[in-house]
Parts: sequence; structure tokens; C-alpha cells
Amino acid sequence: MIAMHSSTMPDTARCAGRAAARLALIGTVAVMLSACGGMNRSDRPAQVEDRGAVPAPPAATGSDTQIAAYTPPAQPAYARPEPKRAVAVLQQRAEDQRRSGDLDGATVSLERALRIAPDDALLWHALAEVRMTQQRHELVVQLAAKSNALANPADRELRGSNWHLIAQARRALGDVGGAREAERRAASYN
Amino acid sequence: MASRKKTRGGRRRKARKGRAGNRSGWRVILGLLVLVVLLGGAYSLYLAKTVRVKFEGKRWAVPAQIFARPLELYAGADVSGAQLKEELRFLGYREVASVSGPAQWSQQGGRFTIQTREFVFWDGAEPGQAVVVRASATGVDSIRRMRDRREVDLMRLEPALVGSIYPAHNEDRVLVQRAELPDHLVNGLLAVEDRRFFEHAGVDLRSVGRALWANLRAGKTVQGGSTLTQQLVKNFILTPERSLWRKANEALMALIVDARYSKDEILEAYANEIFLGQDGERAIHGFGLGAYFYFARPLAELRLHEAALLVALVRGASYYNPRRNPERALQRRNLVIEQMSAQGFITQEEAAQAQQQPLGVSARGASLGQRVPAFVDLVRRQLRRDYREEDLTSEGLRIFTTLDPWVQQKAAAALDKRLTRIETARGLEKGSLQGALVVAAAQNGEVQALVGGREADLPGFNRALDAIRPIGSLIKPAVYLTALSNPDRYTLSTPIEDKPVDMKLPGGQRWQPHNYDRKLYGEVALHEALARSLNLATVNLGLQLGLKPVIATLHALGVNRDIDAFPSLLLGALSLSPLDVAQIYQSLAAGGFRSPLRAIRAVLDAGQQPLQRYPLTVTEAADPAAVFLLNRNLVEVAESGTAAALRKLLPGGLQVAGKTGTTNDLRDSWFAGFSADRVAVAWVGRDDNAPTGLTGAQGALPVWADLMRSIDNLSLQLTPPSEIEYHWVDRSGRLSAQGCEGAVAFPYIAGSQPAQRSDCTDQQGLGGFLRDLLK
Repeated sequence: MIAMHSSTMPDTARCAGRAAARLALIGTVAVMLSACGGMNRSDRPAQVEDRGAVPAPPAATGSDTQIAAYTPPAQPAYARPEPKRAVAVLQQRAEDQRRSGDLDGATVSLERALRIAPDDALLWHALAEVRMTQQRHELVVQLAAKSNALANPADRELRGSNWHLIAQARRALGDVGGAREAERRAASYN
Repeated sequence: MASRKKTRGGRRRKARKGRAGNRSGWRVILGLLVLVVLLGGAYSLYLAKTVRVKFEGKRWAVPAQIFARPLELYAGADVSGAQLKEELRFLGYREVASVSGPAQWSQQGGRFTIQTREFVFWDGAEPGQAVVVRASATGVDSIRRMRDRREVDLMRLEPALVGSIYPAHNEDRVLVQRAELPDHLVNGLLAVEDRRFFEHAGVDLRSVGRALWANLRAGKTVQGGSTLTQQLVKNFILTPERSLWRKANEALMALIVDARYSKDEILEAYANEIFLGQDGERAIHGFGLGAYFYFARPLAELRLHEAALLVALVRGASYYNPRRNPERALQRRNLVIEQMSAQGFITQEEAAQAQQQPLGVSARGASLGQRVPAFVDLVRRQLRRDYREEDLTSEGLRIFTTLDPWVQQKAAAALDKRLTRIETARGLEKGSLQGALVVAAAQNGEVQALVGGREADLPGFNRALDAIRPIGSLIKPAVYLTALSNPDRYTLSTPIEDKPVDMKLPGGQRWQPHNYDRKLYGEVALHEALARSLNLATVNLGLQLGLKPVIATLHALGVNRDIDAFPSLLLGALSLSPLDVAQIYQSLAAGGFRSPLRAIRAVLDAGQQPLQRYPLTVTEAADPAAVFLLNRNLVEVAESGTAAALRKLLPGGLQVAGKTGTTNDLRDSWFAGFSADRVAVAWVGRDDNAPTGLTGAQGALPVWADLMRSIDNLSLQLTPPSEIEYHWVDRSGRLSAQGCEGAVAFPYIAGSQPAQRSDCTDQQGLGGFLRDLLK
């Protein structure tokens, strides 16, 4: 997530893992929890409330520079079940439509899915792919960039795929330099 | 047909001439006769042509229908039980004890049983089905099909009809076909208007006599002598002048119509033409629209007593107006029912039961109908780019929009109620404050609601589109985004000078802006300058940046108007509409990806074939990393800056970002901001542009908060792009460490973090101590 980290593990997992490894040394769970600086879910609201300056949750790292990882704010009052099944149905429908050559239908289904889950990076990527088949190259570049902006930093495969799409689209647009640059970035995720 | 008519007309004239009885010049008579026959024939031909042109041309002049977005239902949908009920009401579904047909629902606690109507969408048909929806206060928990109890992953209700684009002569109609006319309606018409409709040839002399007799006996008009065909011709073709000549013409044309067209065609035309009421400037024509206008549901779903009321209105839509004259309407309706029973169309029991029913007319606005004029206005303007006006008013297009009727209703209420409260609290003249609200989906730019003024259900000045006002401090995010897009020079912690500005403008005038509180703050961190909306710091920053890059940022974010490069631009000397502002903030809300604000998803032709889709597009308007920094800063505005009042007005835990705006002498009060899923802009001011006495935080902000509180919102969760790193920084902007006094973690675009280090190192403080332990 943060450029300085080499690990691709989500923060919580990394923190827990690292702490667990040190557990024998320290011998107390309490210390582990405090060192993870409010990483457990119940502590999150308190961090959202923290109004010092730009709200940013702290996280411990071992390097000489201290970097706080991003932690999403809590959703206590607004918790809903995730609309996974509705999105999955539409995703599948779009895939079927795409395979049968109904590209407009696939676009409509993906846009409908995006209304339900607008920050789903995979949906944006899927839409970029359909648009690629339709040769809407300028739109492909934008949709893939949008997907990358929303993608989990740890999802290297998705990021790589998006850069591949951008490279293809730029090449089709005649932007050879831009295509090369995108290919280079795609390769960095291999 | 024309030839048959010719002989009839000719015969009549011949007979008359014959009675004149001039035997001497039979050649002259014959000549005259031929002339008369020719003239009569020509006139009949002319009438026949008129009939054909009017009948066939006008019959299909169907206004475009405008639909709201369909309600999507799935486990996890943010549709509460309360909203679900309201949505069913918009659609005219009947609440019943036990669901037995389409468009009915029942409720037991959070368990809704709903049988939907089928509907043809732009991407195919949605079948009608009976489902059980479990909904709580926060959303839908589950949906199961009645038939086999299987879980339904995703379904949608048909969209509500929210308006139409009718022609300049203000006739609105929803076209119905003969097969869609309910039996009760046709029988009612036959019973009271034209018993021998299926037998006569367009004119019915017997019925004239009988009607005369019946009316004499009743002492009032209970029956009309005109056939349905004559009534159609009268409504359809002729001007409402009363004369014998007109009567004769009417009869002649009725004969022509009857000969030319089938009874079913005539009935269909009648059903679509008949005048049934007036809604402001809009004339309600036809039973199809009448059903929506009076009962908020399609014609096919009307029950006996409801169909009878529509028949009752035929005799005088204004006189029997059920909303204004319910007693009269009820009497007339019951008379229709009585006649239906007397003529054997229904049993006496059915009649008695129907007569017991109340009128059952919906409240005005129950079906939204033309209640969203501002939104329809936007739809019209967006359509005008692609369609000719006459196509919109005559081709029967079906326009699927992005309007969210639930949000629209809440937005209209939020604006009017809050402004009333403010007027009362401040002793302002009632109704002196005006406002506008725009709500759009944050990520795809779909306009969900548009309120053009406090009387949101009345057409008039559409402030959301046409109140072009200076935006004041709403412009500042564009200045700061321009700065943050240069990470080598500016970060959130970069010190900015809040010092006096004294400029000579090109016209020789001096420009000496000041802070709102007229204080000077000296050196402040960039994020603090925005959070506190410091004018002088912003002007100094903007002058360092130059006006051109700031203008470029504004255009990239979606401003389509010309922008003058005056220094006062930096403080919002730029006039925009609330919709323009919503576009700027949509670009920010979507992490720097602009989607043009859209009101339309798709257009279908009268045959349900897709004509056009308005697809989702995005354009990277600014570096997502810089936008992320700016948005963190706008969260700070809402948490502890000039919009901190939001904390008291919004539910706990709902994180939003936003910016207040106030213009000179407190003329315009603005607030623009966003949650994770919605972006909204509120403007409050006066139509005469006089000062309101309200800052952005005092006028528009509470309107905005009331709206956001009354609809479901996802808390803002800003995802840092991969270039973002967090660093601990002390109060003076030097790199510090967690646990050091006053240290705060700031996000930076990689490499832009401060180079200077504070004395407090990693080894100090509690955090450092614990980390040592963990190493």
C-alpha cells in the first residue's frame, strides 16, 4: 500500500503477523495490541474522531521514517451487507454477454453493477476490457486508470492488467511513447 | 369511404332542391344539381381529407414519457422499509391484506410481500413477480420469490413516470391502445354517453331523441345526444363555437369518421383524446394519463368505481373535478355506475358495492407526475442536444432518467423546511430566502435530484440551472488542488503566508481583500489555510501559482464557462450555477475522475426499441494523488474547519468532505460536499440578490446537512493512491516521529515529505519505546 513497504500484506495482517512473531519475546498480548496502534476494528471510530489535522491513522513500521498506513473510517451507523451477490450476478451476465458478442449489453450490465458497487476496481477494469473490444481506446485509458485508482495496492495482478490495457489502447491511439511507458509499468507488476 | 360520403351528402341536397319545386327549367335544375353534387362532393372530400390528416396525424402525437430510475432491490441494498413503502406509493401499488395480482403489496413489520408489474427496460424486460422482501431501518436483508421461496439475487421495480415533454399547446397524454381499455371503462362510456355506439353510423338520431326524453324526465342533463364519434370529432377537429353550421359539419364528419375507421379505432382515438382535467398549464388528455393524474396508476389497474369516475369526467372535467368538487364528482360517478347496472353491464350488487367506495383520488403529487419540473427541465435541455423538439413532443419516446424520486423528495423537503426555520429564527420575511439543491452520484455523475427552488413542485425559475452566482470560497479547493499538483513545491504542511494583499488592478483600482474575521494569521500550514478558509493565505498562494494554472484546474474539473483572469477569481469572483458547482465537486468526489453530470440513461422509441444510450464515461481531471490530499483536507474542513457545524447536524460516524462559500455582503450562501456515494451542492440566496445575512455555514450548510441526514450515505473512505505515503510531522512542519509531542501523520506524495527533521527522533516517546520492544 505504501510505496516504502515491500510487503504486499494488508496492514492489519502484517501487523498481527509481525507481532505474533515477537509474541514469545514480549510475552504479553497487551503490548502487541498497543503497538498495533488501534488497528483492531473496535478502535477505529476513535481514530476517525481524532481531529488534530488531516485525519490519518498511525501505524507502526520498523524503518527510521514513521509512516502511517491508511485505515478506512469506521461505518458504525451505516453498516449494510455487501451487495456481493447482486454484483456477481451482473458481472456474470456481462461476461456472458461479452462472450456472445453483445458488447452493448455487457456495457449496460457493468454500468448497472457499478451503480451498486461504484468503488469496485474489478468492475471498472471489466468495463475497460469491453470498451477495448469496442475500440473505444480513449475511454479505455481512463477506465483503466480509474480502476487503478481504486484498486487495492496489494492487487498487483489487477494493476498490471490495467497498465496492459492502457498500453494497448495508447498504442492503438498512436501514442507509442505512452504505450511503452505503460508497458514498463505493467511489467513492474509481473 | 369518401365516395360513400359523397353520395349521402349529394342525396340530401338533391332532396332539398327537389322540394323547391321549379319545374320549368329542368335543364337548369339538372345543371344546378350536378353543381351541388359536385360542390357537396368536393366539400365532403375536403372534410374527409381533414379527418384523415387530423385523425391519423394527431392521434400519434404522443409526448415523450419521462421515467425515474428504477429501484434496484437486492440483499444489501440501502433501501429501508420506509423508503420501500414510499417507492411503492410513487408507483401506485395498492396496499392490500393479501396480495393477489400485479401492483399490490402487503406488510407485516419488516416483511413486505410485493407483486411487481412487468416492464420493458432498455436492456430487456423485467418480468412481473411476487416476492417477499425483508427490509430493516438500514436496508434490504433478503428477497425471496413467493412461488418457490428461492432467493432473488437482484430485481428492479419499474420506474415511476415522473413527467412528459408535451407540445407547446400544453396537451399531455399517455397513449393507450384499444386492447388496454378496461371493460368497465368502455361499458361506462356506452352506458352514459352512447348506447348504440357499435350499431350507429356515427350519428344516432334515436339516441338524440332518447337523450332529450331522459333529460326532460330527469329535469337535468343525464344523457348526451352526441355519439362518441361526434364527441371525438368535436374535441378533435372543430373549434368550440356553437352554431347549426358547426353541428351539421360535426355530424357530417362523424359520418365520415365512422365510415372511414373501425369502431375500435374510433374508441381508441376517443380514449386518447378526451379532455379530463387541467393541471396548471397542462391539459390532461385521454384516459391513460387521466388514470395517472387521478389515481397514480396505469389505466389497466383501475377498479370499477375508479373507471366510472373517469367516465363521469367526460361530461365536464372541471365541473366534476373530484379534487375540487368531490361531492358533485361522487354523485356523477354513482350515476354512471347506476346506468351501467340499469343497462346490464354490471349486477346490482356490483353497482351497490362500487357506489359505496370513496372517490379514491390520489393526493396531487402522489405519483410525482409533473412534480419535478426542475429535473424535467434538465432532461429537456440534455435531450435538446440530440433530438428535435417536435420529436420529443410527438414521437412517444420513453426517456429513462437518473432521477431518484426518494432523494428528490427529501431534497425538496430539506430546502424548504430549513429555509423556513432560518427565516423564523432570524425574523426574516417569510419566503424571502430562495435556494437550490443538486444531488449526484459521486462516482458516475448521475443526477439523482434537482431542486430549483422552494416550491419544488411548481414550474418556474430553475435556480439549480439558471441562478448563476459568484461561488465565493467554493473556488478555493481548485486553488489548493493546483498547488498540491506540484508536490515539489507544495504539500499539506507547506507554510503559506497569511499576510495583507494590496494590488493595483489593470483598471487602476486597488484590491485589498481581507480575511472574513479581518485578522491576520501570519505563517499557516497549507491545510490549515483551506480548513479555515483564509482569504489572504489563499490569495498569496494563488498569486504564487499564477491565475492560469488555477483556471486550467477549474476547466479540468468541469467548468465550461469562460473564466476571467482577475486576482479576485482566487476568492470566488466566478459566477456558476449550482449544477456547474456540482460538476466540479463530482470530479473531486470521484478521486479526480470527472464524469459529466448526466440526467438520462437511455431513450427508447415508441416500439420499445433502444434509440440511444448515455454511457458512463470518466476523464482523469487531476492527479488522483493530489486529489486525495485535497480531499483529506476537505474532510478536515468538515471535521474542524469552517464546516465543523456539520458534526452536530450529521449522524455520528458519517465522514464527509466539503467546503463552505460566502459572497460579498452575504448575498450567496453555498455549501458543496460529498460522502462516499453522493455529491451535493446547496445554494441559498435571494432572487433580488439582496444580502441574506447568512454565511455559507449558516444557510446552505444546514440545508445540505438536512438533506444528507435524511437519505442514506456511505461514510467517505478515501483510498490513498499508491504514490501516497504517511509521515509524522511536528507543528513546525519538520519530520518527526510517532509519539513526539504534537506529531501528526500527514499524507504526502512520495518524495515530497519535508526534508528537515525535528529534534524528536524515533527513539523518543511512547511509540518509539514500544517499537524498540517489538524489534
